[in-house]
Amino acid sequence: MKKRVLLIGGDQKAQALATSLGAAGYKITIINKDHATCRVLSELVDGTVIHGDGARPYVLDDAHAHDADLAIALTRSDEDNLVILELCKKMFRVQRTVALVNDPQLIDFFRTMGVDSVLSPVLTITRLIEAEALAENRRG
Amino acid sequence: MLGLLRRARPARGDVVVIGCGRLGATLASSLSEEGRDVTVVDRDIDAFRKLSPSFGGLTIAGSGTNLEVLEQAGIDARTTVICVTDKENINIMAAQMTRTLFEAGRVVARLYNPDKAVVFEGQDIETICPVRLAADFVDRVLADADRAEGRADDPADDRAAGRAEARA
Repeated sequence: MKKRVLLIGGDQKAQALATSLGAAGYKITIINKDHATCRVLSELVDGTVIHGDGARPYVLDDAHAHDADLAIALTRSDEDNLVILELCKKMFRVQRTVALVNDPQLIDFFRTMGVDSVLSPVLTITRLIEAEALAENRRG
Repeated sequence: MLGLLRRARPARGDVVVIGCGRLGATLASSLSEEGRDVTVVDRDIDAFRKLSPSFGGLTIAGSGTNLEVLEQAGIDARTTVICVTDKENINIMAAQMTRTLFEAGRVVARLYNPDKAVVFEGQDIETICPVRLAADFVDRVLADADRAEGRADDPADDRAAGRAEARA
C-alpha cells in the first residue's frame, strides 16, 4: 500500500515536497490556511488539498490524519508547527512527525515534545553557506 | 480563577503572566495589588499600558516562546505561569516550555478549543476555556431562573385556585 504523507502549511515548500514525494510514490494530502494557495496547489499537485487551519483537530480529521504515516509541518510559525504535530501524534497516532523550526534554539525542545525529526532551515542554510565559503577559500 | 490561584501553595511564589491582553493585564494588576511578585511578558510594549497604574511588578517585552525571554522571567519550581495570549498555540507552547524546560510549579494555559487539551497529556498543565466557562455559567443562570420560576409558580397556582374557588 502507498505510504500516506500529510503536509501542513508552507506554500512553495509544500508544492516542491509534494511533487518529489509524489514522484517517489507517496500519497499526498496538503492542508493550507490560505484559500488562494490551496487553489494553486490543487492544480499543480497530484493529491488532496484541504483548506483550513491544520492546528484544529476537525481539519486534521477531514484530512484523514489517522491514516497518515508521516506528517510534515511547514508553517511559518513554530508554535503552530508544534501544536499541529502534537495533535497528529497524540490525537491521530501518526507514526512519524517532521517539523521545520525557525528558531534554532527550539530544536531540542521540539524533540523533547515528541517530534521525530526537527529541521532548522536557518541552521541548515548557514552551514551550507559556511561550507561553500570555506570551499571557496580553499580553492582560492 | 483568582480563588484557584490563591490556594496554590502556602508559600506564595511569584507569578509570570504571558500575554498582556485584557485578561492578562487584569490578572497581573489584581495579583500585583494582592502583593504578589508579578512579571508580565508581551511582545508588544504598548500592551503594558493596559496594566493598572498601581501595578508594581516587572514587564518584559518579548515573545513568550523565546528561551531568553523565559530565562529572564526567572521561572522556577515556586513560580505559577499563566499563559493567556490571544493565540492558543502560543499559549500551548509557552506552557509546555515553562513546564518542561523551566519546571514551573504550576502552569495554566488558556485554550479556545477545549479539544486541543490532549496535547497536554501527562504534563500536569491546567487549562482554562472561556467558552466552556461561559457555557457553564449560562447553564447555571438558567437553572437558577428555572428554580426561581418553579418556586414562584406554586403560590401563583394557589392564588389562581383560590380565585377559582371564590368565583365558584
